Amino acid sequence: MSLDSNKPTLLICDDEEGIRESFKLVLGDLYNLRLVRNGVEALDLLKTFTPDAMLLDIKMPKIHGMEILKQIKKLKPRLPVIIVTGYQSVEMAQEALKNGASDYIPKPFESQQILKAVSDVLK
Amino acid sequence: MNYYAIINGINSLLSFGIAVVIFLNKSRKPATVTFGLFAFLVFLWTFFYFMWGLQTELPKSLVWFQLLEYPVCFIHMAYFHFALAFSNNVSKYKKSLLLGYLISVVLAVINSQNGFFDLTYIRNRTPFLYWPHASPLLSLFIGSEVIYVAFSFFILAQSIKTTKEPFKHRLKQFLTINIIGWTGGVTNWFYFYDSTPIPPIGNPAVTFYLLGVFYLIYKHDIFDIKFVIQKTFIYAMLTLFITLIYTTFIVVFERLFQSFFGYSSIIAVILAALTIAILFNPLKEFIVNLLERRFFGKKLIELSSENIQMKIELQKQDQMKAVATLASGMAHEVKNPLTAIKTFTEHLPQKFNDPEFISKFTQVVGPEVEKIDSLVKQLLEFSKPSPLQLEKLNIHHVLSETLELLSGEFIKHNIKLQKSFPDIPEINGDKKQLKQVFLNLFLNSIQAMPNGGTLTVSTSFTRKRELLVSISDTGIGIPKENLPHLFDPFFTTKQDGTGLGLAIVHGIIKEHGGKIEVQSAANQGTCFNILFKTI
Repeated sequence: MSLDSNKPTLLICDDEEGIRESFKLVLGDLYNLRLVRNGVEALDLLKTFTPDAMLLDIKMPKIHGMEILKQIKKLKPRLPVIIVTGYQSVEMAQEALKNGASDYIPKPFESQQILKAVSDVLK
Repeated sequence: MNYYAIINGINSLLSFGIAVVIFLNKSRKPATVTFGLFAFLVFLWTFFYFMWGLQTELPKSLVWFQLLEYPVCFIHMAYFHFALAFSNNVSKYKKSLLLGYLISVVLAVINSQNGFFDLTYIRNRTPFLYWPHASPLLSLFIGSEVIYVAFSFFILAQSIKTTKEPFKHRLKQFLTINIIGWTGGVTNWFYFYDSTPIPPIGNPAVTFYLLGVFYLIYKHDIFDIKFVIQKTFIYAMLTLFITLIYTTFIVVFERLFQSFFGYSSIIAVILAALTIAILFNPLKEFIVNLLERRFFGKKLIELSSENIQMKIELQKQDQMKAVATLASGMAHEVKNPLTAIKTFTEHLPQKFNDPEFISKFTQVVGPEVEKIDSLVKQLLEFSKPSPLQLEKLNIHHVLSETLELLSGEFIKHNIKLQKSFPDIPEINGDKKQLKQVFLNLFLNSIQAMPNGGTLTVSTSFTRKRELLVSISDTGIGIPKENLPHLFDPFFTTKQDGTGLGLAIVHGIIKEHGGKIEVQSAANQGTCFNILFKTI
């Protein structure tokens, strides 16, 4: 995917093809997207590259989303991370925010919700 | 022969029947074994009582009388032990139990010295020819018995409180007949005192009690002893009738015809044998009929099907509970495909002219709809019980699919999953039922780790060419005293548990010809090992 230097770049980490395609559909016109399928790929990429914001799923194979969040925050404390998950609960939202997440969006989301959350964290 | 001896003869046959049924049954649960021991002591007591009642000479009478007191020294303790085992309280009251057995030993020693009765003061008390009077020490004997039996009732009554219907009702019935039986038995003591000349009228209550125990064992399977009882009961009754016929012949012949035939025992025996041979089958049918119509009120077949029906109902309840947990997990599972479908349909009105979008739409939405469909199908699969259907299968697939169903639960409860699936041979199994087995075990593990932990699922191939599936958690563990009851139906420590989860697991594994074992340590975790035969 070619990167347009005028657009901010988002890193999207979700193991579900359907979700990645949905993000492409909602955000693809406004942002450069880098899509990865799990935490290992995400952390690998972040070693050499800094996106403007990140969208992160919680339930994924290999590394638990919350664990990825903690490691990202160690690696890139200033990177805004938005949690997008189907496993929402008050406790999990609190934990995510405590671990440095910028926002917490439950699935299934509205396109507008995602757009607003991303533009908010990029301000 | 006095009537009281006959009643005790009947009681000894009944209690012997109960003891035999319990010991022949493979169940080695502490409650069952202790009740078997209790029944056996009741048998000894009633049998010696019967023999005592038959004696017409003083010395012989005293021998049987002394013998009968030995089992009495221990009966109440066996009963107390049973009450503790039944209510899982053995470890809590270990000291009282040991003390009681110690007292029983002391009682037996005193009895061997004839310390409880004044053998110089023996009276003829109808219907017994030789009835000794109590010595002062007897009050100790009676005291310890009354205390321990009352204690047992108290413990059983406590355990009724925590039992759920319909078992509560059965336990109440059980305790009621227990109280009747013991109250009856206790009347034996009064006759030993001149001041309380109440004759021993209580032993027919013991008969009633023993019949009640038979009834509860048979109808409600209270000791997990299924249909052995019917035959035992019938043969116990047959033996009783045959003995009666035989004795009658001998007695009648010796009294009436001795003068004609001289010593005619042989003829009497032959005639008795002939009569028994002729009467055996009609008698058996008569007893079966009597049991079915009069005693149980229903055909035995109907009764057992009633039992089975109730078990099926409870199994369903348990299954629905597991389904409910699954369903809440699946509600989350559905959200991913739902998100994709929702996003794509949202964009459809603006982009339906864009061929690239339309091709993505079909590429994404179709499979996502199928995902939801398959989730719903899997859920339905769990809610419908079905008969065993064996097929060749790889246990890893079954384990993985079940773990996948629960992936949401693992996340929710912060549980790490470790899998070790080396190459292993296939087994013959029922995929659906095995999924239920693993589902129940995984759900238990999740519940055992409320603050998170690790669930390890591994398989291996043993030297005996068996397949071992090991499921271990790092949860709260199972108290040692609960381990023997773990697979018992209706045994539960959970507030809202039916106590059927692990019983179902056990049943399914047994149907597969497999074995399941459990190891557990408090606060360290629990490990279930399941062995399957390989193909």
